[in-house]
Amino acid sequence: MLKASLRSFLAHKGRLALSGLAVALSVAFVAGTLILSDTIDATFTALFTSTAADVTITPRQAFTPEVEDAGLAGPPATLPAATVARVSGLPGIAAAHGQVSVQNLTVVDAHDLPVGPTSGAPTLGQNFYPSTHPAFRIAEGRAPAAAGEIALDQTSAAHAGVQVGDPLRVLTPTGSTPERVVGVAAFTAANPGVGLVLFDTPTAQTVLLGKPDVFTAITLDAQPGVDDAAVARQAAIALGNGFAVSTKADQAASSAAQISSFLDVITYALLGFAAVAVLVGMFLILNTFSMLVAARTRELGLLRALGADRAQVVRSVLAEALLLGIGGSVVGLAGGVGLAALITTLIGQAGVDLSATSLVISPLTPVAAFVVGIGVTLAAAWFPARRAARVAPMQALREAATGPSPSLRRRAIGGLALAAVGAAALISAAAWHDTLTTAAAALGVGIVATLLAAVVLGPILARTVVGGLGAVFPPMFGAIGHLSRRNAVRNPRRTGATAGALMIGLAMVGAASVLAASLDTSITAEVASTFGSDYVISAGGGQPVPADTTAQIRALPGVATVTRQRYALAHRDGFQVSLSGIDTATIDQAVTPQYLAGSTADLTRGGLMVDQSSAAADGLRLGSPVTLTFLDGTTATLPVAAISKTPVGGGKDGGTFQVSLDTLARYQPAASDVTLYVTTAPGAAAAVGQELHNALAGAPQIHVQDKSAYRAQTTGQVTLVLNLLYGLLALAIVIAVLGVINTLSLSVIERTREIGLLRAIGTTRRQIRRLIRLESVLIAVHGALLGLGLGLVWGITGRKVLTGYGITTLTIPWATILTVLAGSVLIGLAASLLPAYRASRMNTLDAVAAT
Amino acid sequence: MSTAIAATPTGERQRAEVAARAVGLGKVYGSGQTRVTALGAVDVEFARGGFAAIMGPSGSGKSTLMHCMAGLDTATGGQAFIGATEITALNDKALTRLRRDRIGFIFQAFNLLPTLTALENVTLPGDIAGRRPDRAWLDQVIDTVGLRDRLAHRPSELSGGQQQRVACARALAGRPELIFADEPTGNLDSRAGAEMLAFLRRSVDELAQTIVMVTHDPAAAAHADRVLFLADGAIVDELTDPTADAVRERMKNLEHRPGASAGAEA
Repeated sequence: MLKASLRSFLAHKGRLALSGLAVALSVAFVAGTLILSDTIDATFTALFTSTAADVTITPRQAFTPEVEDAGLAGPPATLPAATVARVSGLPGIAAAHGQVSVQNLTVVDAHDLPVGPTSGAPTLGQNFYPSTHPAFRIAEGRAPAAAGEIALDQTSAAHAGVQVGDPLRVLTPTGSTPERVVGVAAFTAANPGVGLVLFDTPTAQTVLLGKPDVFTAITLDAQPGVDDAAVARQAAIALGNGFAVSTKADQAASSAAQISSFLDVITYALLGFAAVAVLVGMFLILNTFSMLVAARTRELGLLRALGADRAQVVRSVLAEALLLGIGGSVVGLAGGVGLAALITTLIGQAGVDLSATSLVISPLTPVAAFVVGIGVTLAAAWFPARRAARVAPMQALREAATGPSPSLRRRAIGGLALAAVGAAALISAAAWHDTLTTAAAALGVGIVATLLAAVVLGPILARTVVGGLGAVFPPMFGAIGHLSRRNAVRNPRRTGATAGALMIGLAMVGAASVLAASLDTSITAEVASTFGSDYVISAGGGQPVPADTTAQIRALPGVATVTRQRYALAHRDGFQVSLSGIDTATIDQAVTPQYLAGSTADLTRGGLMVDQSSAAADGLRLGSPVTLTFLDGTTATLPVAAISKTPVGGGKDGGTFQVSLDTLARYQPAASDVTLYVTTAPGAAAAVGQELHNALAGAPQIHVQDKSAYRAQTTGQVTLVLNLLYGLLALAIVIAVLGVINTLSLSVIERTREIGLLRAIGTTRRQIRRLIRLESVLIAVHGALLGLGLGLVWGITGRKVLTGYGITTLTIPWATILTVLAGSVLIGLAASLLPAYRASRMNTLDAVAAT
Repeated sequence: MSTAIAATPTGERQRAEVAARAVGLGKVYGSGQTRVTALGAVDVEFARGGFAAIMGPSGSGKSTLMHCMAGLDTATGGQAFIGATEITALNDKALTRLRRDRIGFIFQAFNLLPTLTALENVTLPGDIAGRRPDRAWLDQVIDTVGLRDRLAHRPSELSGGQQQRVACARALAGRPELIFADEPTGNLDSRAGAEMLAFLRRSVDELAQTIVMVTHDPAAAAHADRVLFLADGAIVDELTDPTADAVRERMKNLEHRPGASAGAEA
């Protein structure tokens, strides 16, 4: 039997090629994702282990703030320079260095154009000192040695065309200093994608920290043979409380953990898309084996008649699937390596240099690749194999190419039951939108159940929907239209599976487009209803605006009010919150109040405002105490004084809180202004706009936005995410198109005699091509209709579930939906090119001479 | 459009009466060592309104002759004419048109599209051409083959004999100049086969149809006006107003001819 399977596999290798490609693509996506995340992981672990000092001492903080917020609350925590002397004399220590490292600076060139990463990653400002574990070295020129000298990292220098000797300006919250580039620095391990500006130590202290006698950290080099942990213990004892002491291993582990948790999100997202690709691929394989088995019914019947039992028939088909799965997995694994290499290069172009480590292929990767590739293929081949074995031998011998078509009733009952479960889950999800976790679970169940229902009901839907769609064909395309419609519904199971593959990808596109459009209109609506100020002023990258900016703007003629917003970094129950303080006197003019309970006046009395979702999730009411923990370890318990609508996007995990500036100052005295809301005197808006631009000309890191610019910036981020999503879904659609090509190609082979007969009685080649094309278009449009229908239902429900995240308005992007639908016609036409060509070139005699 | 024929008065006359004609028609497969001659230089004429049978043992080239004369296969030498049109000079598109508009086909098996009803199969060539059916003629054809109560059935719901009758009706429906029938009774039991042959005979006698039929069954050939015998790619004998016995006798002689095993046609 094995020999028969092998022969059959080789005989059908052309017909199996597309299925193999689908397996390979799915596997490549899975393997590529795993290799990429392992590689990034290894690169950063290597980076941290090779560049961390033996022991690092920092001011003790209650928690580690999220990276993008590090500069938000004001200047970084420092320790006195004298601390270096307190540890440098300890036994076992070779050297102790004071370190200055901040990320709240902006570098611009002589034309005020920004120098540094364009990806939104920060530019680090550090002092340069010799070390046994340097994170960077001077690659060109020399190290900065005096005020007015800096070294710039290689990537930023290359991108901005900066050379040694060029003038630059460094902008910090405390001011702007002219600098001259004296050297170019290169990262010793890998550039994690950040920009870097190096100063000599005294300059770094005055320019970056504003004080000559402080550092942000102290690094210790242990003497050879001395254990890092022992040094750390000694330092901790010598310094007492108020300092965090960590060894190289601790640093690497915590940095790697931080990177990993960020990477996990990406990895899971990519694996999610890989799962979609695998699912879509399964449809393709299922169809291929169904058709191959159908074509071999007679052969399998003969085997049965000669004494092979059912299990042997099943095994012979599965053996073929196994070969396909192995082949597809091998190719896919290689493809995955290529994919990971490609993405690594793309990331490199964005500034993150991963070339220090070669691609890391952990033992798990090939295992996962083969499990996925072979598992999927076997699972997809199982159904047709079992069906083939069920055929009675004589029936198989009698019926040439037509397999048995069992009644669709059981399918209808099962599918409708699933659809009912799905509908109930979706309705529940919409009804429970106040409690996000429950609603999200119900939404998940609903999505899976409705998807399964659509798959199970596929053949029945194919018969009705395709039949209905095709009704327009006969009047338009005559007898050929009539025939193509009949062909599309003659095997509803096959048409259903082919369209099903397309359905999955397009359902996700549909749902994503509904969510994105709704988010977009919600943001627009929120901006329109809350944006009372004429201009919003902020610095990029979560940095405060320079200290003198507020006074400068207040002095401009025509400015009515300037409302300040400052931030403090705080945790609540282990989650970081968004905690800001505002000018309570003028905030209501700048931002239309969205209070559901309480008012701005209540904040002046020392209470805090909480967003509706957090309040609902934690049962907070007016007067409920909220305990916050700040970076320095102090805690504050404040009463809830107001409840407002949740901002679009939902804010931080711990919730969004607002207090008065006075309250904030009690816990974060050093906080600086982050956002300024400017209102103008009547009729002065345009003039003030011009004044603002003139006044802030020397500070290019500051953005002045009016209502439309503010809206565009917010919605622009949505568009970016959406485009990324569409790009990933395109893969699933490509596999689905392969499926359509595959089904049509096999159908054409299966219908050799029909096509020959049609040609014999006078059908032109062009008409044959049209016949296949129209069938293809029918299948594609059918898949698109189902997919977009499902996607609309998912998107509408998802929108309702996310009401708490501020997506308050439902918008269905009909233009997008119709474009996708029209695009499906093109997909159908494209998929039919090859099969239609083959059909039109078929030899007429094959048909009439075959017996 | 052959000038050689049109040049003489007898040529004009011939063209009016001859439905199909082959002049030195040949078909060779392969080249060199593997060269196989399926059809030598065959000269033959089929008169309008006649019922001709082509007979011969397997491999004799009878199907090849039919395929080349019907524009289903391309000849490697000589000329073939349908009426006055030289089909050996036509491109694929013109050949397709010719098959659609001027020729009817009945094959041994798989004559019908499984997705279409009997009636739709009958009108298919006309529908493909975008022609409006001649209702009265269609009714007459349907009644002649006795399919009135089966028109809405799919081929899978029809017996083999009924299927061949549908194929026959399809060939007749377009009022072609000529019908080529390739072993039309090959897959039928003897009763259905006899019925089928009676239909073909009636369509010649009553509907003035011209039919060329390839068969290996002497009883079937006996329904024709004229039987041509092929062996090794050449016409070796001819019989007019045949009887089954006479045909059988000639066939026996053919099969015992020396070197009768050559040929590559299936």
